[in-house]
Order: sequence, then C-alpha cells, then structure tokens
Amino acid sequence: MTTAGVDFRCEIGERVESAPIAVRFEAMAEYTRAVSEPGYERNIHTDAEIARRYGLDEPIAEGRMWTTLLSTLLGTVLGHAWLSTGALSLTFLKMVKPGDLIRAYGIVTAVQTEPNGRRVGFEVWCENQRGEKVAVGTAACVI
Amino acid sequence: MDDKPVLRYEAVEAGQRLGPIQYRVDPELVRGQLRAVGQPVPVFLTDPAIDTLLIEPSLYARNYIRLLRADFMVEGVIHSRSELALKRPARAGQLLTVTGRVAEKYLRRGRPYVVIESETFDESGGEVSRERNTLLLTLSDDHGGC
Repeated sequence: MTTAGVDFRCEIGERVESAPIAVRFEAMAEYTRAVSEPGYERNIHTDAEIARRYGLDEPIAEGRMWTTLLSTLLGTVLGHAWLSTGALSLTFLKMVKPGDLIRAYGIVTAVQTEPNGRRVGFEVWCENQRGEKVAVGTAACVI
Repeated sequence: MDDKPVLRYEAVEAGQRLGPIQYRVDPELVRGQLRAVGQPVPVFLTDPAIDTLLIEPSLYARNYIRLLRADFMVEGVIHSRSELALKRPARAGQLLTVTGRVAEKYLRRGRPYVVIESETFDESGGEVSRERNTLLLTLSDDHGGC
C-alpha cells in the first residue's frame, strides 16, 4: 500500500490512500465559499434552512469535495502528469454529513505501455467511517 | 440573479448551448479548496520554474454550475456523476473561459437528470480540461448522490 507522497511503483494491485478527513460543517462551508460565485454561497451545503427546504435534515457536503480529495491523492502519487493526462470519473453514492470521517482510496487495475509512457488505470473510491463507499469510479493517467 | 428562471427539467433541452462564461481563479480559492479537505498545497500544484501555484483541477468539476447560473437560478441540485479529462496545467490567477452544452436529459425511475458537457480554456486559448457532469434536478427522501 502506498500513501500519498511515498514512492509509487506503478504495479497492478498497488493501493494508494489518503489520510482520513474528519468532515466538519465549517470545512464544508469553507469549501463551498471557496468555489462558489459571489452571491451563491448560501445553499444546501452551507445553510440548514435551505437544506430542510430540499428535504434534508441538515446540510450535506459537496460531492466535489471527494473529487478534490481523490485528485490531490492521485496528483501527489503521479506528479505533474496528472494535470495534463489525468482522467477521473466519479459517481456519488451517499450523502456525507458533518461528523463523518472520509478517506480516499485507489488501486491500480491496469498498466499499459504507450508511445508517451505508461497508462495507469485505477479503481478509486471514498469511504466513510462505517466502511460505506460514498463515491466510486475510475481514474487514469499517462506517466 | 433572482429574475432568472429556476432551473427545471422542462426549462432545458438537449443540445442547448451554455456559455461561454469566464471566471478568474484566485490563488486563495485554490488554497481554500484544499484546506477544506485537510490538504496542504501538494508539490504537484507548484511550479518552481515560475514560482506559482497551479489550479487544483477538481475545480473544473463545478464549471457546469457556473454555466447554468449564467442563465438560471440554480439551488439544491444534486451532483450525481462527475467526469474530468485533464489536458494541461493552468496557473492560479488566470481568467478561464468555459463553453458548454446540455448533452442529455432523461428520466430514470421518475427522477429528472440533466447531463452537462463543457470545455475549459486558459488565457492563451489552450484547453485545460473537458468535463461531463450528471445532475439530479430535484430531491426526494430516498435519493442518492450529493
């Protein structure tokens, strides 16, 4: 198993993972504020009243937070190549709420030689503290 | 923004063009995005040759909402699926341009989904990313996604 920042051997079956992220409402709100256009900071991710209006019992984390967590994990492992040849496809399965603990994972499923390098394929997912997958997908990059 | 129509399934059509829109990526936006998921600025987002911060590319995964908000009032949309294909690094501080379209709309188990495809370009006109995002437009008690 490889943790972000440690040498990546690029072998089928090799596993990478992030440190666990404790989800706090303040962090959810900071993420949304950081990426939102001015005037749109209040939404189901930052405002309990709006969340209730949409049938939620409390604000939920943006699914894109897990895209960011996986992208930084893969970028750390794969380097600058991630920014020019990376591909990430994610399906969001479960809502994430304050108090959850999320960790990102990847496992190498394919390594193919190409003219410009080796194309590495991953199965990727994010998991909560109950072992439930909150997002699943695939990633690839030429290194 | 309040005089825009609310984004509803009936209000969009497959093939409908969205954008172009432009936005500037402040370096603090990148840092805030990373801080919120407990990440320090990773080495791959720094370019020592020009001493600058690069954009964390998951930011492009929300370009669809910027495109939609140019024409609609969007609130409470559930992001169901995100697909990103990265083409080149882009430094923070740049003005990005995004073009897009409604690629599909469909009902699945009675729920309305819309698929938005987009492309993102840097200030030199170089393509930095292609995106495809699937959205659930209304919530119900038993929905998945987030």
